[in-house]
Amino acid sequence: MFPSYAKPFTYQIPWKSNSYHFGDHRGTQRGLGYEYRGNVPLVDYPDARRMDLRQTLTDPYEQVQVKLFNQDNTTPIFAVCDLSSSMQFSGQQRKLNTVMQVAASIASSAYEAGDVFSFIAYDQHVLEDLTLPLSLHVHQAFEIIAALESHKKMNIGAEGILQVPQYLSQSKGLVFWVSDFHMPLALIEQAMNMMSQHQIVPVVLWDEKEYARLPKFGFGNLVDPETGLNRSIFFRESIRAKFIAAFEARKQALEHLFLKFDSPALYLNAEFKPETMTHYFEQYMSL
Amino acid sequence: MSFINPWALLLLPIAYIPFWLKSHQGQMYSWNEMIPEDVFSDRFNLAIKIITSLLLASIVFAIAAPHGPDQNVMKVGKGAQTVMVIDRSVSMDHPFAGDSTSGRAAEIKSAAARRLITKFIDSRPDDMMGVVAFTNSALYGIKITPNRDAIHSAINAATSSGINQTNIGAGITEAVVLFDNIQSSGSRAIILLSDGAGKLSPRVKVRIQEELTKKHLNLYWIVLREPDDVSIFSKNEYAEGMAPAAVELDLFFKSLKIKYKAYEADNPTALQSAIQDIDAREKNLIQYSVAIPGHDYSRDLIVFALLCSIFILIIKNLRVHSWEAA
Repeated sequence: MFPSYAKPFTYQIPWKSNSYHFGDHRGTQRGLGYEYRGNVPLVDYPDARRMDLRQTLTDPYEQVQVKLFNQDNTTPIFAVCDLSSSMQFSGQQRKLNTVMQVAASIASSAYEAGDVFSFIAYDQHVLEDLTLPLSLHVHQAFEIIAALESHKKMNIGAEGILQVPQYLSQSKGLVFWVSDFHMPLALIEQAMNMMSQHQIVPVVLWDEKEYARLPKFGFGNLVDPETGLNRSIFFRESIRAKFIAAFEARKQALEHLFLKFDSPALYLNAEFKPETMTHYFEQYMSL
Repeated sequence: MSFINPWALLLLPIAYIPFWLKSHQGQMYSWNEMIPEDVFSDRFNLAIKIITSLLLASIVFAIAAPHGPDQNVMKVGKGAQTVMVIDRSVSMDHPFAGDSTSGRAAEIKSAAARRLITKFIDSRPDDMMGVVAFTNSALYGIKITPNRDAIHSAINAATSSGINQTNIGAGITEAVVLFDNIQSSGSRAIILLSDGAGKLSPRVKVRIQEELTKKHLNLYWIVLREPDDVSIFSKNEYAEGMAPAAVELDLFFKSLKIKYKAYEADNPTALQSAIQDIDAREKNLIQYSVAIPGHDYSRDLIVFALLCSIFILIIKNLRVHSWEAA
């Protein structure tokens, strides 16, 4: 049974996967596919089913020509999830619950596309017991994702992203990096560099309650869940504008950074809609 | 400026707590680096910390109770330093058996005494008075003081229900002692109010004689007589040692080299006239100093702390408890 919060979407990858497994994505392997690859003489590739009559007739050497096709292959899909304490922030819903929705949706989409899926969770380090290696065992993935419901670790940062690249595959994969990206830009850049052989999809989880839907008036003490430090803010109309401006500037900076790596970000508000993901791939990831 | 409890100043570091301890109450926010700089909020926060500090500090100071220097104010008045020596024997609880035409027949002696003495006191605002009651022995009432409330209370105590016997000697010696620890104003009197007399032992007589003459005390004796008693003013001649106690005491007082006057009162009106007569006699200028305690700052500090608390309470109600306000 798939959990109810798993909402599959469709994705495609803009590169040729070089795995040997039969899958849904265009690959580099010759085989039974639809992608025309070229012609070779029947002698070289004795497959009479693929005889190319037109090429045979026009061939000056009067060799019988055969069409070659590329097989459709699988590609590794990774869901890299930030479990640092800032993900405990509850706006319209807890960010980790959004993470669960996104990760479960990725897992079920990968399953439907017949791709191998790996779930990687990190905070200060990669959390081995919440991490699954690449496999087709979608239910194991769902079990681990369901365990995030009770994950409530406080005062922990997100530096573990730098260890994540060791857990990724050798060949190019599609990496969904699900986080709020509330970490220094330098750290994000370093991580992006380390994972640059993969196609990264940064899924940015921001909540409107972080900037747009602040308290209207009053005195609030804001505690940072990762450092435990606090700041007191007297909420009023002008500070709200400042918050919105700050997040706008942050968004600009993130976009600028992600575009350097040719991986545009996907911004999600509280609830996850699979269509947004589908649109994203249609927009940026079509060949 | 001095402190009553200077040790409380050791608690002063408490005022540093708001700056030292970090609050862990509040809303979780995702990342504090996203919070924009806001000078107003920072100042506001600082102001709250300062006010909390001031609140704590003012409470600590209030415990230490600072007060200003004492002041001695010289007062000049017309009047005297008087000690009331009041009989509290059982017979004082009997009514005057005066004639009923006085309109106040059968008023109880002690009640009448209380009423009239109180009036006497109130009519002489500049007097300093002390009170001694006596029965078998002297009962200290109040030292010689200008404090009206204290005198009234002491008079009330001294004219409450009677107990036991009459020991005039003890009363007078006790009264005399009261003059020891107060500077003389030049006019000093003992008003002895009793309804009879007792015998004085020779030793006491000598002592009274010494004290009264040395201290130049005037003595007024008001005898609350019952009609069938022997009057001290009767011209009867008595043999040596056979005279009634009152007459003998009167003779003893007369023999002293002091200003002495005796009155007899067998009803409240007579008592009143006796007291008025004393009032008229004791009208010297007196000078005395009153100690005014220094200003006590602890009350101001507590009021200040209260104001700070109210402010903090208001701020507390401005706190945002949820993000529902969006």
